[in-house]
Amino acid sequence: MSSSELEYVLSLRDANIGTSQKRLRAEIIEFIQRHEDAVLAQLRTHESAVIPTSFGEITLNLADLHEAIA
Amino acid sequence: MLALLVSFLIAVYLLGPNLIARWAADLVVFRKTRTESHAEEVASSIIAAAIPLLIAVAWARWTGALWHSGTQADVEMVFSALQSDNFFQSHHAQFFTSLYAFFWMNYAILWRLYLLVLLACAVRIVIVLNYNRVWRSLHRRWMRTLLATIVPRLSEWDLLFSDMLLPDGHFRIMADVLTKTGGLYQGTVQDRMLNNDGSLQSITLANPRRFERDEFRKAKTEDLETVSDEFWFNIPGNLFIVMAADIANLNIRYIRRKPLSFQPSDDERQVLTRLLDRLKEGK
Repeated sequence: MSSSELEYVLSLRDANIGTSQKRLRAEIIEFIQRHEDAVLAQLRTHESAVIPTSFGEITLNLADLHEAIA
Repeated sequence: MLALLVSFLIAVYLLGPNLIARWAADLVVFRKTRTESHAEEVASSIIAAAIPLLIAVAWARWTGALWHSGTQADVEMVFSALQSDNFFQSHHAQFFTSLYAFFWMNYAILWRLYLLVLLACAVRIVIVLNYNRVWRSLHRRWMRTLLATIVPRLSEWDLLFSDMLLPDGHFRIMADVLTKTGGLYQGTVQDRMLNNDGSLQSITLANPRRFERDEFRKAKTEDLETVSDEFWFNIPGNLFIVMAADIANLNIRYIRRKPLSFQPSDDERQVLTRLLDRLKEGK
């Protein structure tokens, strides 16, 4: 892979990270809003909640949630 | 004997540094090996070793270590004696004295050469491991292009599947794999195996799941409101290997391990704050 190809792939990957991040967060937030009671129940029982997304199941820990709003 | 000595010198001065540079590169990236002719390999080794060798010679001369060990006459004596048996017979005693000096002259250059090569390799490893950070700190295009030349000729697949060149933070690499037989799988990329030429051999998915496409189509024809989420089925196990030969296409996505912790928006904060407040209230 030449230097210009490397730069190109890195820039594509940067764009991929940005898009995926945006979409994943939107899906998580939407799920929390739509199923708040179920998420709360999971957090109360396990201190974590499993959020189904198009990326697969994402586990959110209580610590992660506190970190996000800190 | 002269041919043997010359071969040895070529090995330690030219091929050795190149070999060390390759080993060092292998520590951080999966290099793409190319089939090179012997002449190409020697030529590239000479070019790569020329700069550190010139610096090592200049350094040894500048400190006086080179000429302190021996003189040009010692070098001439060693080569002449190895080339001609008659010369060797007539200068037997002087040959061994010069050979001793010749050894120390080479030692004076070689340890400097290998130190420089090791330092250069260490710098290269540090740059490659922090590539994205360094890349972002450079704003001129020519600087970025120059930086890219430092990275070994790596496999494109290694670049896509390793988190080494990703921005700061912990990432998870997700893949949607469509096989040639029509199976759709999804999971976190746990590992990848590459062939020597850098091509993909297989990928290993953790927490894999399979999409039941036929069932989804059937359900969709009966009810247009059917959503695809319900047709993903978890596959037990954490080592789901898909051979590259079976892959029709791949969709790779990079997500942060803590997706909400990275610069959340005000709206996102509000939703999460509300959730945590309700959690507190319930306790």
